[in-house]
Amino acid sequence: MKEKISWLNRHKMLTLYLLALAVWVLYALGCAGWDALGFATGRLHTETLALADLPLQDIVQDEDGNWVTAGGDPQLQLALDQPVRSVTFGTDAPASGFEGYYGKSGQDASLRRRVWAAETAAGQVLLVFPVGSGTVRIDPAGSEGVVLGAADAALTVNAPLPLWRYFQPLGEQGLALAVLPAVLAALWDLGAFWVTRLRR
Amino acid sequence: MELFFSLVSLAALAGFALLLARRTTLPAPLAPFAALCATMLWFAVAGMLGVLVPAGWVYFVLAAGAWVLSFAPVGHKAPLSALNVPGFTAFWVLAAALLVFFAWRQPMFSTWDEFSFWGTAAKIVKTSGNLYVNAEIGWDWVGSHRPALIVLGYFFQFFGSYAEWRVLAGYDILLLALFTTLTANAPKGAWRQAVPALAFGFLLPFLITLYGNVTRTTDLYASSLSDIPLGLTFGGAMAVYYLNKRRALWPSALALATLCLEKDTGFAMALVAAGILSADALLCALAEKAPAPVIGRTLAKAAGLFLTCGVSFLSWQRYLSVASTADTSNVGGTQQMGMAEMVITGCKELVGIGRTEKFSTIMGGMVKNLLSSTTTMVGPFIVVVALTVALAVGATLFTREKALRRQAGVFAVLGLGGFAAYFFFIGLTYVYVFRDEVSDGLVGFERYMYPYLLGWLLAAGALVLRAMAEERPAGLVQTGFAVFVLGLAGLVWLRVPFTLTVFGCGDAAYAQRRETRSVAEEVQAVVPQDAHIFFVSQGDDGSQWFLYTYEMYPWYLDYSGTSGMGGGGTFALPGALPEDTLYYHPYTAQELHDCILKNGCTYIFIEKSDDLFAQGYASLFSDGLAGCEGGAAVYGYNAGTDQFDFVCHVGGTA
Repeated sequence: MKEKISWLNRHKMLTLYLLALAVWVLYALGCAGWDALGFATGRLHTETLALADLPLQDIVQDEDGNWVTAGGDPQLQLALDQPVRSVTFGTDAPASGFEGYYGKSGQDASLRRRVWAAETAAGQVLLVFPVGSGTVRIDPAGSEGVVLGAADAALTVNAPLPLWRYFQPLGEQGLALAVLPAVLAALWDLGAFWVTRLRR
Repeated sequence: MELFFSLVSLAALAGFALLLARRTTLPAPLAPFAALCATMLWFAVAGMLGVLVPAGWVYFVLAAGAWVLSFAPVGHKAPLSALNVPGFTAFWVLAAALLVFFAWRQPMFSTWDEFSFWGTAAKIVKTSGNLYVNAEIGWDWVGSHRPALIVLGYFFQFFGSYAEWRVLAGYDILLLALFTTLTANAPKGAWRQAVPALAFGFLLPFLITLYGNVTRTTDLYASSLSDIPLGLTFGGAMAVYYLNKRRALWPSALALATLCLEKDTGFAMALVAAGILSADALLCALAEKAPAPVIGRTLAKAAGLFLTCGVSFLSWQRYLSVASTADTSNVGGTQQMGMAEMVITGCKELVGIGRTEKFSTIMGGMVKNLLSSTTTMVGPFIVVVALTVALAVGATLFTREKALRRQAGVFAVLGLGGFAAYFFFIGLTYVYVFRDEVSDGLVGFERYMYPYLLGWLLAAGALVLRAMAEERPAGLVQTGFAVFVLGLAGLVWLRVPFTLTVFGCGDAAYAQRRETRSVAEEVQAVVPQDAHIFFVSQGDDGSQWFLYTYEMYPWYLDYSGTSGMGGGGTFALPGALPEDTLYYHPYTAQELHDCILKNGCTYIFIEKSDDLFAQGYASLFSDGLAGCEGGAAVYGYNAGTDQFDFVCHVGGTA
C-alpha cells in the first residue's frame, strides 16, 4: 500500500488526470442513468412544440407562412413543466447560428450558461443542456432574414440522447477537465512541500 | 491528414529540441523555444534566398538526423533524466493537444490586419512556395512586414494543404514554447512551480491585451497578428538568459534575431533586451572578479548580441532592396522621414528645440493614457509597470542568491529606461508617421505599447521563478507566486466568459467567414485563375476587399478604385456624394469602364450593389444590373458588345 501511495505521490499529475477521467466517466454515466430514470418515472418526456405555440422574439412568419428571423436578436423561449435536456429542430438554417442559454426559472440568460448546437444530420440541429436546466432560450441566428422553417415547424424537446453524447463535455466542463487536475496537482505538491517543511 | 502533417512538423521540431537538450548545456525546458527560434530563422533566411521549399526538405532531413544524434551512443550527452522535467514534458503534450484541438475547432482569421497582411502573406507563402513581397496581389507590401512569423505558419504546414488553423496553431506553439521557458528551474515533479509558471505565461495575454478592447476575446490564442508573439519573444529572450544558470547568451541571440524579423518594432525591443542582457553579463563578470580574458569574452559576446540584432534587422532591409521595389530607407507616413532623422528630430523637440504643438499634444496624451486609461485587466499601463518592478523587487528581496539580487535590480532599472525609450519611440511614430486622424486620437496606442509590457512582465516572472531555487524563507516565493497566479486566474475567470474564448466558442464565431469562403469559392468556380477580377462592394471601407482578396488568392482581385483611396469603397457618379466622402470613387460610366479594362479586368464581382451603382453604371452591363437584384453576382466582359454579361449569382441568392 505504501508503495502505491508513494507511486501516486511521484506521479501526481498523471494520477489526477486519470482520476478526473474516472470522475467524468462516472458523472456522464450518472447523468445518463438519471435521465433514464426520469423517462421511466415521467419526470422527463419527449414532446413536440410548434413554433407557433412558443413565445418568440424577432421571429415572424412571412407571406408564405415561413418562420423568419426579423430582428437583431431572434429568440425562442422554452419554459416547460419538465427540465430541458435536449432540443432537436429540423431546419435548413445553419446549425452554427444556433446557441442555447439555460438556467433556473427566473434567471436571466448569461454567457456563462451557454451551449452550442451541433448538426446531427442534414437539416437536424441538436442542443444538449446540462442537468437541471429549467428554462431555456434558443437563439437560432445572429441576423435577420434567416428562414427557420415552414409554417408547421416544430421543436422536439427531450428526445432520448445516444449514450456517447453524455460523455461530451458541455461548455466549461471541458475547461474544468483540462485545467483542474493540473491546478490540483500543483496544490497537492505545494501542500506536500509544506507538510515536509513543517515536519522538519 | 493535415493534423498528421502538422504533428510531423512538431516531431521535426522535437528532434532539434532533443538535440539541444542532450548535446548542449541548455536546460531541457529552454530547448523548444531555442529550436523554434532557429527554425523560424532557417525558414526566413531560406525565404530571402529564394530556396524556401528546398530548405524545408533539408530541414526535415536534418531533423531526422537530430533525432538519431540525440540518442546515438557516441559522445557526451545529458542523461535521459534531464528530459524528465515538468516543462519539457508539458510542452510536447500541450503542443500536440493544441494541434488536435485546433484541427477539430478550425479557428479562422478574423481581423483586418490578418486579411491585409498576416493571413494573406501566410497563404501566399504556402501557395507559392516563396516569400510574399513579389506576389501578384492588389496592393504594395510595406517593408515593415517581416517574415519570421509568416514562415512559422509555413513550417507547420510544410506538408499537406493550406489551412488557417495550422497557421494559428504555429503561433500558439511558439507561445507555449515561451511559457515553457518559465519552468526551466522547476525540478522533476515540482508541479507547485511548473503549473503556476505555465499559467502565468498563459494568462499574460488575457491580462494585458483584452481589456482595452484591443483584441477580441475569441481571437486571443487564435490570431496571426504579430503583437503578442513579438512581446513575448522579447520577454523570452531575457527569460532564457535569466533561467539558465550558465548565463549562456546564444539562446538569447537566437531569440533576438527572430524578434528583429517578426516586426520592425522588434528591432527597438531587441536593442533594449540586448542592452539589459549585455549590462547584466558584464556586471556579473565584474562582480565575480573574473579575469580580464573572461571579461573580454563577455564583452565580445555582448557585442555579438547587438551585432546579431543588426544583421538580422538589416538582412530584411537588404533583401527588400534587392527583391522588391519598396523604399526601405524611410518609415513612411506623413513626414516621409528616415528612422534616424525621426529620432533626432524627436529628441530635439523633447528638449524644447522647435517643439511643435502636435508633439506636445501627442506626448501629453500618451502620458495621460499611461497613467489613467483602463487599458489592461489590472489597470492602466502604469500599474503593469509597477507590477513588473514589484516582481523584480520581490525576486531581489526573497532570494539568497547574491547574483540574482543584482540581476533583478539591473533588470528593473534598465527595463524602466528601455520602457521610457520605447514609449518615446512610439510617441514619435504618432507625431511623424501616422495620419492626423490616427495620431489625434492615439488610435492603437494600447496595441503598440503592450508588446513591451508583455515581454517585460514575462521576464520579471522568470526572475521570480529563478528566486524559488534559493528562496528565503523557504517556500515563501513558491507559495506567494502560486497564490498570485491563482488570483490572476480568478480575475480572468471573472472578466472573460469561457464561451467567448477560442477554447469555448461555438461555430457561430466563424460562421460569417465560412459564408464568405463559400461565396469566394463560387466565384473561383466560374472565373479562370489567370483572369483579373474587379471588385465592387458598395459602402465598403476596404475590409471586404481585403477579405475577398485573401479568400480568393491566387485569383487576383483588382485594386478596384482610385489610387490613394484604398481598395473597395463606393462607386458613384461624380457629384453623387460629397467630395470628401471616405472611400468614394467618383467615376462616370465611361471612366469606370475604362478603369476596369485598363487594369486588365475581364470579370466583375459585385459583392454588394446599391442604387448609386445601379443609377450610375447600369449601362455597362448587358442586363442593366438586373442580375444584382437577387444579391451578389459575377459578370464577364463581352468584347463583342463592349458590355459585361451576367455570369451567375453567388452566395445562395437569386
